[in-house]
Amino acid sequence: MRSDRLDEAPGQDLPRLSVPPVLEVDGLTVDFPSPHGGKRVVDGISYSIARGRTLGVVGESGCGKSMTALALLGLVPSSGRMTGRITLNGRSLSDLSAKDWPDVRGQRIALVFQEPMTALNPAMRIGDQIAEVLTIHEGLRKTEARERAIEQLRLVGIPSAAERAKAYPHQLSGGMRQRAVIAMALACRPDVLIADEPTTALDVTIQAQILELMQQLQDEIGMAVQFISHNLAVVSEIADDVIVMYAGQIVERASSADLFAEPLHPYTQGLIETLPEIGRAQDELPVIAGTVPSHYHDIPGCRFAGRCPKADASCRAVAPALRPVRLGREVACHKVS
Amino acid sequence: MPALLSVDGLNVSFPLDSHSLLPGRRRVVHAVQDVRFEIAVGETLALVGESGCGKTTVGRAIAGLGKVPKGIVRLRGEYLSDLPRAQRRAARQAIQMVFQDPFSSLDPRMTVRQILQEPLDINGIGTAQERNARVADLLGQVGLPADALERYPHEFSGGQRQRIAIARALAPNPALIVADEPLSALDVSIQSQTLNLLQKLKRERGLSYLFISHDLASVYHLADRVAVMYLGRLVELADRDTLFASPRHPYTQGLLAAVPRIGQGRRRRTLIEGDLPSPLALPSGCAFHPRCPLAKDICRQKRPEMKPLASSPAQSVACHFAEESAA
Amino acid sequence: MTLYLLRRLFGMALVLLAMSFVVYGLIGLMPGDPIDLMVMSNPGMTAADADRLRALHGLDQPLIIRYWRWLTAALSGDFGFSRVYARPTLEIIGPALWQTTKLVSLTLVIGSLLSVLLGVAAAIRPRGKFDTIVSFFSFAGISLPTFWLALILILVFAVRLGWLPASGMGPSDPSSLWDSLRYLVLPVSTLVIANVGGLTRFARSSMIETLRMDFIRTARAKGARSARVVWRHALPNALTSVVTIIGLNFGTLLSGALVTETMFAQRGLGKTIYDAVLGNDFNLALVALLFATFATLLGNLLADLAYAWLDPRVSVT
Ligand SMILES: Nc1ncnc2c1ncn2[C@@H]1O[C@H](COP(=O)(O)OP(=O)(O)OP(=O)(O)O)[C@@H](O)[C@H]1O
Ligand SMILES: Nc1ncnc2c1ncn2[C@@H]1O[C@H](COP(=O)(O)OP(=O)(O)OP(=O)(O)O)[C@@H](O)[C@H]1O
Ligand code: SF4
Ligand code: SF4
Ligand SMILES: [Mg+2]
Ligand SMILES: [Mg+2]
Repeated sequence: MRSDRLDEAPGQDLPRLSVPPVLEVDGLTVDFPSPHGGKRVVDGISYSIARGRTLGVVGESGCGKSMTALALLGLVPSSGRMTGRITLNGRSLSDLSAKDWPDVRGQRIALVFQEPMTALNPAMRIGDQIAEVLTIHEGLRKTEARERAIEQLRLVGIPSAAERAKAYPHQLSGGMRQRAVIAMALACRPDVLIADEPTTALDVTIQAQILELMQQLQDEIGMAVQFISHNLAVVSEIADDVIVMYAGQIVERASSADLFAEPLHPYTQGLIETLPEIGRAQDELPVIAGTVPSHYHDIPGCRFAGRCPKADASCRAVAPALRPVRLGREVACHKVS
Repeated sequence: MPALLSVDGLNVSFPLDSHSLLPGRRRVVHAVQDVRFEIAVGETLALVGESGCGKTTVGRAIAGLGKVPKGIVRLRGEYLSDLPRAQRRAARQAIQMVFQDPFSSLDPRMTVRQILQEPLDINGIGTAQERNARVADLLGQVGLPADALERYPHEFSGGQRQRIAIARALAPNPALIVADEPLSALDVSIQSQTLNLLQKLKRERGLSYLFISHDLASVYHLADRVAVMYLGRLVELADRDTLFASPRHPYTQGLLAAVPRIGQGRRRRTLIEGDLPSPLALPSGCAFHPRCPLAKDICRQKRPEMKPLASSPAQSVACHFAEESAA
Repeated sequence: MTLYLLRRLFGMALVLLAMSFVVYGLIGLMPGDPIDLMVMSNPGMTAADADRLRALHGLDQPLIIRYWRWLTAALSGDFGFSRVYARPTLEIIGPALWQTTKLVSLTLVIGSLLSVLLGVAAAIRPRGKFDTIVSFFSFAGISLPTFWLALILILVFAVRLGWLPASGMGPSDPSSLWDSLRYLVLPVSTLVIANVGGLTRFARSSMIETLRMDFIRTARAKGARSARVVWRHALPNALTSVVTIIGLNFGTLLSGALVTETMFAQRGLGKTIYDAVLGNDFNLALVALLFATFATLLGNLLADLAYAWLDPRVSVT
């Protein structure tokens, strides 16, 4: 269903939109109020993911990717405030009480974190850490859960799983640990898997193994995946659709094929152009001048204006809204028609 | 081209259990073994390989940091280890290092001026006035505004900090800069700025680099030649175009296949299975054999020597089947 | 593991050896020896008698020879006689050691449990109401001098309320468990109060730090509820550093116990050393000090073993 993606003409996935999405996010906002104004680190973002599809989320460090992921699990730090609507399989999660959130976490929505080194409990055997999800959500008994955990480890390609289940995290390599984390996330066959930079800390050969594993498991389980990364190349290989975030907002949304073939937002264009590419010798790389503004929260106009080659007075005055510009494509830029 | 730096038989090992009270079996990590390469004036040699394969250790050994390595390091033809102490130190100034993390490699209590001036003071370069002028000049070369001088590192973004670190490395007027993953702590949109800066400095000052990285796209962009390392040894060394177009070592081939690329869509990208073995228990014969799709019996018994290919002598490969394994 | 234990024990033996030599040397260098004391207390003795006695006891030999004799005897299990009690030192130290062990181990168990419980509860909501209260009492406990605390406890519970005995060790053949425990309540309380404050502060900060770690977020993302996150995930990790501190503080606790015993007139190791030093009973003082040192070293070793047991990343090899 996905492997033929490159052959599709852009826009042909329109009929798929009729499949009801598993996850819908509407106007998600995360604020960190403080006496001196506070900051809005995620600013009204909306998207949805259908079953079996992968949404890539790209953007620079600090643009709010991880905070979005945490919000989906009700794990925004207690100093922060989240608003907006999250709907899972038609059921709203936004008004879930603190008591009911744990039933969703790990069971319906699971999370894979960036750092496999620190994401596992160093004082607990990995088999037990996986079994724990099953005892929590499926009420399995210890021995049963252990067996299922070993099965999970086998599923993610860990050799001699029964013995490895008894290992502590520090006894495994980075790639093995990330496999264990994935095994843990998938133990309850969640509807949605959020992978927050799952391969950033890994070597390329291991990264390739993990990406392949994730795609294969997605084909088997059919979950929706939200794949967060700052690595455009990785996202281009794994995602069906992509949202590009800048300073807490979505600036562009498109199918992966469209986005990388013809980026429309000046920021996306810049990002793709600046990447060095194997096989293309260049004297100098194009650059996006400047850096992400650190206090983007109270910029009145377009937040990218300070770095944008096309910026003019109207860009600095009025913030562009995310709007559809072509079939299946949305961009937040005044200069795209 | 005369070699600026030549390294031969470089070995670095780290003892484990060094605090042991009783004499017992001393275990040793052979972090770098028999590494040999040359860097010409104005040339960039990239050193690639997976985490823990010894890239940083090679870089530090060349820059004269950390353990004194075994082997021969020659700078402009002179054996560094043979030079008298004072001269050796002067010679070392010709090799400077830029580290991965611009957040921890700069002293937070020093202003940018102090950071840049320190290497000049230590080596007694120029008069006070000349040093001042030089510091200002350095700042300009790395593209930082002049008012940055009196500020502290924490007032700068990651990319700007890396520029400060590069300016500090430039201060003693080196001939070679060892850049150890200078991009990996930086934001995507900042990496290309830094790559351009490195390239500009090379063009303008005839600098040489040992560019350590695991990002093969950046390596392609910056390097003239590429050395591939696996578990402490070089396994392939060739000029850039040859290496990327026709890698001969199975590990290099797997590495290149695994690099994600825009516009490739879904594809098979794992030629290499399994994990890196522990450097404490190196596999026999060819260290790559447990993961190598081409491994034969001889690979388990005999370690392949690094040698030039008969068909293209500028490409050296350490594999028993290098002549046959064109991808 | 065995090798590690052997190595540690070997190290401990070295420390004890050095310690015995230093203490023996210090005593030997002091003016006056046991014979002088005899001369002083017995006016009928002549200088010649004294010299003869000295030769008999080997006291005319150089210090190093005497030390060697003492050491070889000690290694064969003969720790000499106590001058004051005129009995083998071990016979006196045995019961004293038992008394001190009871005091220290009760304090250790109660104090550790209490401070971990309080520390965890305070860490769950840092700067919350409970945390503030715990912090206040922790600081109070840290800043109270032990002897003053002991006096207050004696005044309130023994003198005013009469619930508990003020001092002593109870009958030699207690009729019930409570009968012997009664005498330990006040000393143990003194020690616990004096030590629990610092440990609670430490447990609290260690716990707060652990609760900020990535794997805690993972546990919550799995759907673990707060209680499980705290007890199953955070506590075992926070405990490792708490145990280290307990081990490091063991010497302090022991010396606190020695003072407390003296305050409550209990014949433990502390009071034995105190009396021996005052009574010029050098041999007894030396041996008792060595036992106190040994206990401290043993405590540290146990803490290190516990640390390795709690933290799988640490292996004792
Ligand atoms: N507890 C907090 N209090 C206040 N601000 C916070 C807090 N946690 C995160 N932030 C801010 O929220 C913003 C978004 O952070 P987030 O971690 O989502 O970024 P990200 O896109 O995941 O970046 P990265 O690529 O570095 O992981 C950042 O500017 C960060 O400073
Ligand atoms: N100071 C040290 N003491 C002991 N072992 C060391 C030390 N420094 C490095 N090593 C070991 O030497 C090997 C090579 O390490 P090195 O840091 O050079 O690798 P690297 O290729 O730079 O890896 P990375 O990509 O992760 O930076 C590793 O196995 C490492 O554990
Ligand atoms: S709105 Fe203006 S400043 Fe913003 S991205 Fe578009 S052109 Fe650039
Ligand atoms: S020598 Fe053998 S194992 Fe090593 S790379 Fe060549 S074929 Fe593979
Ligand atoms: Mg993040
Ligand atoms: Mg390194």
